[in-house]
Amino acid sequence: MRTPVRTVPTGAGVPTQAKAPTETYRILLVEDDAGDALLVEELLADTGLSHTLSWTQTMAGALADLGARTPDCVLLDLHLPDASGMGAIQTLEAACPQSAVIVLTGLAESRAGVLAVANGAQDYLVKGQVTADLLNRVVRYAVHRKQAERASAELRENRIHAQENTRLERGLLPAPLLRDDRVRASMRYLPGRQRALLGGDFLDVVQTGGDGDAGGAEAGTVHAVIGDVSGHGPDEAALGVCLRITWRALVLAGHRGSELLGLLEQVLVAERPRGDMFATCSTVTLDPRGQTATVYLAGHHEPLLCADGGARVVPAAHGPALGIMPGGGHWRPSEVALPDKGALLLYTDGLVEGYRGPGKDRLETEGLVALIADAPEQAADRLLDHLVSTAQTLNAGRHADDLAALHLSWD
Amino acid sequence: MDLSLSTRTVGDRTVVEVGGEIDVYTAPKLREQLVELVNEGHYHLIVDMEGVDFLDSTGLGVLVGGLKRVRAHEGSLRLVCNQERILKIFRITGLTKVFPIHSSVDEAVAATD
Repeated sequence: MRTPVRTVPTGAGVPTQAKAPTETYRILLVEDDAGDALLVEELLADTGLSHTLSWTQTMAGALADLGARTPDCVLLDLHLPDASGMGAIQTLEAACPQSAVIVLTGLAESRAGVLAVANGAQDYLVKGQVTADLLNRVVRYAVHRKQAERASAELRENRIHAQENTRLERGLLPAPLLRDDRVRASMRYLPGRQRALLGGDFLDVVQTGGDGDAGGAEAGTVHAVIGDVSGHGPDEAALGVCLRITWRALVLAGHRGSELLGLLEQVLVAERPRGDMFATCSTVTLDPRGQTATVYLAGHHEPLLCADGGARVVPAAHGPALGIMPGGGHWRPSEVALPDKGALLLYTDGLVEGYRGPGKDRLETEGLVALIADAPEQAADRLLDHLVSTAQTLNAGRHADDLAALHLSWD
Repeated sequence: MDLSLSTRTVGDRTVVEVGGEIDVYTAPKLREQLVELVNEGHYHLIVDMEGVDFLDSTGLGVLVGGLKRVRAHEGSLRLVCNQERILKIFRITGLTKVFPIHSSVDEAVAATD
């Protein structure tokens, strides 16, 4: 049913109004009556608008043409053999929301034009009453109105998206709860792809021992967690926020070690929207005198100990990730002696799973250790910025996981 | 960022040979494949990971999901893997206790619980 498409070259050199000289309107005419189509074609030529015109006699032809190229403007007759009335406008709008639609109505049906505009068309023209000037103006206005409409919708969408991300990000990346400055915390969180929703990385720092806390005997102890909910998306991000707040509440309530991880797992199992979701995390406790750290690993890799301008992996016992065998897990503590001056770096996979260069190799922990040794500065914020930006440069945008890093330093 | 999948039947087992990188982009393809097999009534799966270059937590999640599905039908999901890099990920997460891991497809086919 589709008629061959004719492309009409640019209008006959008449100066055109209010548009860039290079701008050419791509117009699709959907009109089953060959005589009416010819009239439109001639009027268009008289407008002086630089344009290309495709003509098709059916909705099926229009849809096929839309698949091949996106017109700026569709001139639509409302009485096609395979589509008519408002349904035709909606079909077009669904197939090609970027294009402005101008409806062609008969003399006896001016109400149809008003109805068409109410149903999403940008404008209407009454056949037999169209002049070149009118057509010129209607096409230009309709296209510009459509563009403005789309730009504002996109802006609104971006704003909502950004607000949603900010809200989740605030939940995933909190203000550390530190009571004194014996230990300083710096953190970074980067969502995966530009405009993508967050993944489920989370981290937190709490110093216990204030008034009203449980566990007054350990006044000044710093507790930290970093974790990663498997997978990516809003469900994972929401579960990450839930786990972080649960961890904070459990720490403040005096729960510690393996028991705390067991409780955290119970909450994960109760709150996860799908049975196959699980989370890895590692927790670190720094004693108030800053001499030892106790590390627990639940399916997560070890932290790094940074000292004397280098870094090494803190050896620690591995226990299962949370949620993969609920109730069956047991987590063992690993103690590490701390130097007088140094830092612990906790991080999620996103920091080490990016590519190390153009090949197949990933950065991995060894690469991260090397980056730390080569870093121009070891001060927390500068180091974190250096690590994150170098990892991103090496990766060159190929792998795009979210990443979290927590740097706890003392001296 | 490519993932290749091919399946074949060995006795009552279905072997899924996976190649390439299982990450956030490609994991959905593996999930679809496992779901499809279970829906078609294949409950004893062997996932051959010898050709896998990379596996992240999303990929692990898909394998755990697959295991839950076959277990709902009293089935099994065995892995074939000899690569230290990949085995390390299973060890760190504690999944070595959840998945039977074999050194060859033949060994996995012959295995009974």
